[in-house]
Amino acid sequence: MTGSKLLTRSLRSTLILISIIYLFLPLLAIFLSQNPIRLLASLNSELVVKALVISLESTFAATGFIVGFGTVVAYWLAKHTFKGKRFLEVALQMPIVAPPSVAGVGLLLVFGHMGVLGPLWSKLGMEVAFQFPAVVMAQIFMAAPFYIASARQSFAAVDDHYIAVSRTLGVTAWKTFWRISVPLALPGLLSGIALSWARAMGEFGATMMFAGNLPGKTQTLPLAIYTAMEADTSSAVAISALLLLVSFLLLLLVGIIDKRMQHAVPAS
Amino acid sequence: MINECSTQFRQAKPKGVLILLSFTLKKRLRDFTLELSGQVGIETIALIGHSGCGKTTLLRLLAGLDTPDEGSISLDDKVLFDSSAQINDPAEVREMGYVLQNYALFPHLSVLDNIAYGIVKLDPAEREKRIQEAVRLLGLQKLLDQMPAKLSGGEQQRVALARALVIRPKLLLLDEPLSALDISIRSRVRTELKQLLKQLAIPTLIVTHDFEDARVLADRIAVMDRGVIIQSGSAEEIAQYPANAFVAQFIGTNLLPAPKMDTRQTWTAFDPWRARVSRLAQDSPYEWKGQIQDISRFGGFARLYLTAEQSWMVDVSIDELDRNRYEPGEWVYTQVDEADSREICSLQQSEQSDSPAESTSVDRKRSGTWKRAVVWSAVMLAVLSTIGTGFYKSRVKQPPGTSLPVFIAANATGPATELFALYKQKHPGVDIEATFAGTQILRTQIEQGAKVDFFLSADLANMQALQDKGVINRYDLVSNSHEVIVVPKENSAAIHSLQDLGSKPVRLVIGVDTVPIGKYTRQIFTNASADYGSNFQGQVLSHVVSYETDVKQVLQKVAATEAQAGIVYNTDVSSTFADKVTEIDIPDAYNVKAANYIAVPTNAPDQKLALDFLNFVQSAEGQAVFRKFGYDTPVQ
Repeated sequence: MTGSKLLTRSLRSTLILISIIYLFLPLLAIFLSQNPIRLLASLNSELVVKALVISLESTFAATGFIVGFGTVVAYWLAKHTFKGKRFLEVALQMPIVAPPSVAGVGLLLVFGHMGVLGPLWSKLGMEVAFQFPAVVMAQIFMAAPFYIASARQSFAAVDDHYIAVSRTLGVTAWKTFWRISVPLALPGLLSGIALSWARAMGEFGATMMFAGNLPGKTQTLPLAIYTAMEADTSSAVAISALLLLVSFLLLLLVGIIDKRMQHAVPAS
Repeated sequence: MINECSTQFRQAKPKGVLILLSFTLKKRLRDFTLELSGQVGIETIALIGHSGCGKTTLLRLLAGLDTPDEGSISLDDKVLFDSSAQINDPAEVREMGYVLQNYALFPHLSVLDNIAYGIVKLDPAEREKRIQEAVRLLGLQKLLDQMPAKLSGGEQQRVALARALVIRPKLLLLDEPLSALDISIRSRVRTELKQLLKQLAIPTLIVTHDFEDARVLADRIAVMDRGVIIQSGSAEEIAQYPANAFVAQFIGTNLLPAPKMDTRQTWTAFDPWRARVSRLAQDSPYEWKGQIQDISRFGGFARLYLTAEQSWMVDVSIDELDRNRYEPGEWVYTQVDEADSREICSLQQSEQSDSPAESTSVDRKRSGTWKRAVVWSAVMLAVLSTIGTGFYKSRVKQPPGTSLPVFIAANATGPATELFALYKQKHPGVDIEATFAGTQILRTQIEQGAKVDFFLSADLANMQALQDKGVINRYDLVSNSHEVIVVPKENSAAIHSLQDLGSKPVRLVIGVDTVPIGKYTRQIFTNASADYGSNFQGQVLSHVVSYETDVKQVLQKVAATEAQAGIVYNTDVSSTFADKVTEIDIPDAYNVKAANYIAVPTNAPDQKLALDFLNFVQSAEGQAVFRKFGYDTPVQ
């Protein structure tokens, strides 16, 4: 091996090593900083269990809504051209860059008691803000752009020729969507689901603003962490460790499904 | 001499066959308008033309994948499209087999599943029969379990054909069926395809840019350019009498102005292998002078590419080429015998006349793009320069001086900001770097080694914890505040006293019990329960809709009228909130004093400056600032 090759290789290894350590160590430190028995002990409180349940329920609901609505939007954006499409695409990405608490204020202005839809709620005798649905809505708002972007890209990558041929073979557009577009776009759809679910799981600012922080009702894990941070750092660390663990397991699951599907759909 | 000034190039009807497909279509495309009509029986028609001439669009319009602007399509006596009758059958009911250039086999399905794709709804016996038929016809027995990615180009084509044929199409549309294949297998596949089409006996439209493909496969050929058919007929007719230079070039023959004739409308067509070349003029009536551009050798002969006003080709034998040593760049004469030339009178104009129009439209587009680019750059420049100046100013304003990092509990933001301003007036060189956050968070950061000169805490417990750890030596009381109820200006829940919070339905927000404001709030409820009844505390807490982690959150929710009441420090109701919320006093007997404490950590980077600032905060001037914000102060 020549000297310059060796240099390139060691430089590459160093850069990779630094990146991995940098991204991994702080999260690992959260697990290692606490005595495992104490960690478990501080998790064994009703508040933490409730927060975990609320987090899981709300993120599953949010992800369900995101997939249901977002898939339609993503497919439409991927397969149609119209004036102002670029503008719309950028606008749909805005929740990613908007500060979450600002998003929370925006949600209040629309769905709050005094918001645009306020009179509607009081007529229906319903409440949204500071209730469980508000948690889901805040998560949908912040996380949907991740799914839409990923799904749009993977739908756009499905060759229109496949769709055209499918139609000429007597299969309607709707069935073609299920038999061709979805299977071919599936890896992208799954990674979009994983991304947006993870974003919903970590959602804090908009939830805090729009849904409030009521243990057992609207307090999700991130809110529980923030609240614990104000009192007892070690229990905040313990809840963080729980959040990381749950997220890791779910993302791993999605990764495995993705791998399976990739196996079924070889690259053309 | 053969002189046939034919005007029947566009013979529309196939002779003596039953018409199955007929269409008249008009579709405006980006650069031109597609205008085609035709009638097809049981025969194979090839459409040839350059890419972008509209031939693929024609197939898509017929298949129902694009919609014509005007026209009609009928197949087998069934009207599939008619713009005037508003009939437009979707692609899935048109029963046309469409094979694409890249074959578009579904990559996630096996060969068998690809073939069966269009007939899954049929009953199993019929489905099996059709698949077996197609598999046998196309010789796919050994490939059924393969995935498409593993197949060769020829195999993919056969699978695509099988997939299209099992639906028993009434019309077959083949888009460049051979262009994706290697040259080595192309002629074999072409012959196979020809035999297959003969066996099938269904109307077939083939689109290609290769005259040879068209000649072998098709019964009739139509030459297309820019959306219209320039010429149609048998391969021989077109080769003999190309309608214009475009067609001639396409089919590999020559078309030049007849030089010795009077009428300028007369042209001469001749094949490259019928012409001769010489260095001297021969005074023949069919003679043209041209410059050799290129010479390519094919086995026993060589082809010379010549250019003058037109371009043409002449084939010479290798012997002749070597004997005469023709070189590119040389001017030579081309002659052709009268018997080998074909005269064509009316030459149809095609791309030449249209090209100027095209280039202007491109120019217009470009200038539009330019205009937009200029506007955009101007906007960007303006934005950047605004940001840039602001950035520059912010950089310039900072004189190099001593920095004083301080941590301030968020509730003291108001007085702290004013204190900083006053202190900076006296000490212009000092640059105060303030962090505002919850007391607990600031405490954690100090414990983790944050280097700060000064810490203002919103409660005693956190200060004591720091002292226990030895992070600070001593701390001082600097100001007191007390709690008040805040309600939105319109006060929709009609809250007028502390007692109302328990007795009236109200959306209440308070601090979480782990932060100072939350602790004090609960203390107040407990105190009041002594007089209002033991269940007062429980009733109030049942009205809580959110526990906030700091006072500002409580205030914001009340100010936004999302909450109907909240409990905060009196000192937090700053002027920004004063016109949105009303304060309601809590009786002194139940109220709890909230105290702010200040300290200099032992690891403060600049002890001297830190102590100076601490003294200033405790001075009469500093204390006056706290009073101004509604605090009670220990030093009056």
